[in-house]
Amino acid sequence: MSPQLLRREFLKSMTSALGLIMLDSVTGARIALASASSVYGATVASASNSSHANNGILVYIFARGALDGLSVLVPSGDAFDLNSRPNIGLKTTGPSPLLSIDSHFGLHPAMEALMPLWRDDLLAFVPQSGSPDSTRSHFDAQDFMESGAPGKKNIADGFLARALEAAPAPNDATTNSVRALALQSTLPRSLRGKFAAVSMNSIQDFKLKAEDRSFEQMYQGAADRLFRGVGHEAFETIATVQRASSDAKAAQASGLYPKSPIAQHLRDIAALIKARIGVQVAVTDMAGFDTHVRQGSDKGQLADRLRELSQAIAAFRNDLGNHFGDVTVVVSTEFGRTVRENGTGGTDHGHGSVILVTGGRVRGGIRGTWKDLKPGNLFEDRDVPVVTDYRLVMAEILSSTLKLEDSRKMKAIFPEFNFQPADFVGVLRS
Amino acid sequence: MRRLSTPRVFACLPRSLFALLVSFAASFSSAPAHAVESDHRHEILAKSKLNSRQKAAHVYDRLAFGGRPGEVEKLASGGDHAIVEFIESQLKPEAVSDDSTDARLAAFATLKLSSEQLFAQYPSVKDVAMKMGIDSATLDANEDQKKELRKKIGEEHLPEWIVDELRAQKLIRAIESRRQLNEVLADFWFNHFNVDHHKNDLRYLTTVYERETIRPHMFGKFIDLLRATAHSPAMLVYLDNAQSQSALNYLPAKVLPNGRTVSREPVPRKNGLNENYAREILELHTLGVDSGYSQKDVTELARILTGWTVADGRTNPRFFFNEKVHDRGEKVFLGRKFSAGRNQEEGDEALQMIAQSPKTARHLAALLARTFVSDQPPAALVDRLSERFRQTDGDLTAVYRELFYSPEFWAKESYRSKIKTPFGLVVSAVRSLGGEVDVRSKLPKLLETIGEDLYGCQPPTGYIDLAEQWVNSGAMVSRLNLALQISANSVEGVYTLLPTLHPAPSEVRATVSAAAARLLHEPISAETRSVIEHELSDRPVLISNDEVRPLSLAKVVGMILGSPEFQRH
Repeated sequence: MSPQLLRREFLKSMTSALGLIMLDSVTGARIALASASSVYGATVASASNSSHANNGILVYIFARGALDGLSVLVPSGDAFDLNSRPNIGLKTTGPSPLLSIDSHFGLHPAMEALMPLWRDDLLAFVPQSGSPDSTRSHFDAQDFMESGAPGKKNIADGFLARALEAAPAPNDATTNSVRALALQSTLPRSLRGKFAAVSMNSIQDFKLKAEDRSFEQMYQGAADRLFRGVGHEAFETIATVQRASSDAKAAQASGLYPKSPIAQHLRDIAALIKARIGVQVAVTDMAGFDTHVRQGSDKGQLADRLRELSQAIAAFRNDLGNHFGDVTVVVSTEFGRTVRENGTGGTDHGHGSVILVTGGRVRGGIRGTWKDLKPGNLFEDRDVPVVTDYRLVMAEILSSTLKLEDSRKMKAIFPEFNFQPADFVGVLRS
Repeated sequence: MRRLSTPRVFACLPRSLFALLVSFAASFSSAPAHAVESDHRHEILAKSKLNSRQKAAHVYDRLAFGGRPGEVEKLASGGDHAIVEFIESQLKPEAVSDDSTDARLAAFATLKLSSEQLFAQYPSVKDVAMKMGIDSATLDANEDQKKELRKKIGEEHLPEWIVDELRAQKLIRAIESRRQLNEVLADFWFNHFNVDHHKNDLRYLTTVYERETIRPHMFGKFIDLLRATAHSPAMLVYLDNAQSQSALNYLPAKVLPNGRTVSREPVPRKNGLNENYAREILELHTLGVDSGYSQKDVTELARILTGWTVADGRTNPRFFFNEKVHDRGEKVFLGRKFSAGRNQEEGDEALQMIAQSPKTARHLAALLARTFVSDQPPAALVDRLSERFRQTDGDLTAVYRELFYSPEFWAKESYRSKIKTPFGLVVSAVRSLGGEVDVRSKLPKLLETIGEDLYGCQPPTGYIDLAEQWVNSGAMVSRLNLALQISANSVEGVYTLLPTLHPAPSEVRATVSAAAARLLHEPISAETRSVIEHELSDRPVLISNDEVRPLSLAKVVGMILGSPEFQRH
């Protein structure tokens, strides 16, 4: 037997003993361990040699408040889960049953807007994923996740800023390119750093509140070199961003997007992508996932948030058309929630959650490894474990999207995180 | 017919601007009014290549957040003698009367309260609901009900109000206080020992932290400041030391039936050591990064500080040494042995030890020089400040004095070499216009968009006061908009007074000069002037024979506040 087969056989016996399922499915079917190429790297090795001609675009959505991964991708095949959530558990039967995507998992019914993406094999989930740090503080967990250094507090910049700094500039990049931006009022932690990124509440907002060009003239002629430079950049950036303004207005008028803040932000990001201004990374966020009380099941608070998110992503895809081919959308959260529901119809702070990935380059399916939710597999006897480190998922996406295949560069992006490209779970197609 | 004559134009100017127009020409030629004393301080000032107006502007730029109308001019007219007097008075803030600021802040209910009182008087909406018999589950599921309840409680009684008042007091003090250096230092030292109100219950602790931990120690010995932060609930919670416990549980000796005691082996504890605070003390607060300590030193300091925690964290938070979770084993920290069995006093010893380290002296000297002199301060200056720190056992006032009377401080290269922080920018803008802000001002929100969330900096590094931190294209857009909004008086809760001008074309130059001199204390650059003059000469248009479209001085002022010149200090 070849060493690799030996290893597979060994892992197979180990994993079945531990209640592990290696997930690898394009069709959504749960596939036996032997073909779990995502774990062994066959597909991934080629993904890391991605030969996409165009540069990719990462749209990173931070779901703040700790998203309950078990309500997004529901392991209806795990008896434990159902028993531990008598009031908020989602069921495969009834008036609004789980959306059937797999023999083991169902999708929250409020996320129906994402089904076309699933059927097109452009929607992937990485369950039991997150940050390895055990903190249950939103504050620290968000900070760690966005700094890219779980457990380390002294990192002042963000992992996306470092990734952009390390990435080669795209061939078509010009001095006018706006390569990194955020649709939120302040620059998020993930984009803070040496790389120039801009944040705005909306395209509409990102301009000077003066009717004339006097500031522009003043800065153009400034003897102060620092400010002449940065002033020049600022006016160019305004002009570049405003190129997308009519498109954003048209998209709004078309009624394609719902009224939720996340939909408005994705609408502006779509307009900026379509304007071809060189966007490589766009960040936005969404709040309202801290569902300690009356989380609801097929209806309720969490269902409403998931519907908003799903409809916004679906509209974003339809709006982008062909541009969606270069885009990878990631939805990620600081940590998951307790497996068991609490006394107030909600869930408390937990550990592992789910990462949602969709886009034209995505290999649809459920990726990574699933540990059955049975006693002994839970983190600290109560939470979904983190089986897949979020950095592994982000490293795979950044490698391909920002052409950072050289894994040495990844060391600076995720300090003290050791991985091989062969470990990638394969959320992207090769 | 309203043909405009010169006197009429000047009648429209506020008195201070008029006075300035008169004194403007004089200020560059006037000799110091007082005889120069020949002590060291005067010698340093006399040797400076800055002219008297620049000296006055510089001292207001660095020891203050710029001048209020007329202040720089007045100081300049007093010459070096007046400047030395100003520095000396700023170094003794308690001797500077500041009644009007105190009077303004007297109405701020939260500023004088203890954390215990804040917890009691500003309960969360959830707690209020519970007392009213509404269960928190109902409330959480019903946004409308929550909103209604918040309305019923009233904005001024919600916990967020504590932070609103805290931010407003920072702005009001910086804008109006006569103890300007005190405010510059409060900003510096809070940032050095940064905490973030967003974390856990820190919004109940941050007011007290600034008032009782930071402010009382800014002119004293560094060790007292360090010790105060190490005993503060805010810092212990923010950097998690409150949760840190010995990895081993040292069980009390067992008492046998015969009265004999048997000591027991320590057993592992589930929630163990948290190194965050120990690491940041060394890296940020004292020795500085890469100064030669090891990971082992971090762990050993964390062990020494186990048990430094907070009692009654959600009702009456205060420092508490919890002997039960203290690691009583032997430690070796920075080469010094801390023998087994010791308690809280070993933490005091460790803090004393690092406060006295030459590396701490050097690290703080470099930071102060960077803040007060330039982004890349001369090495000789850092050496001297560091030496002064060591000689005086960390006497901060002695170090400030060394700094303010150093040739490097007064060098031409230092003048206007620093980029204003967003906070410095808005405060100096409002000050230069003689303006005021109130508790509901939207400035904190606007500051967030330029990258400085007051009391809300997430990483323990605080904000890094270097040009590249603040100057980028996104922030520039916000800076320019802010300048326009402040001068147009369109920021809620910010009040500046700007007249409407009707200058005749022949008066344009004088008007620009007057406005620029008042705001920049320097003749403006030719580039900026030509753009503004163009603006001015363009605008006062005769609409008909008897009507002139008035020109808003706000636009001119907005352009000066948004100019490259005003971004520097």
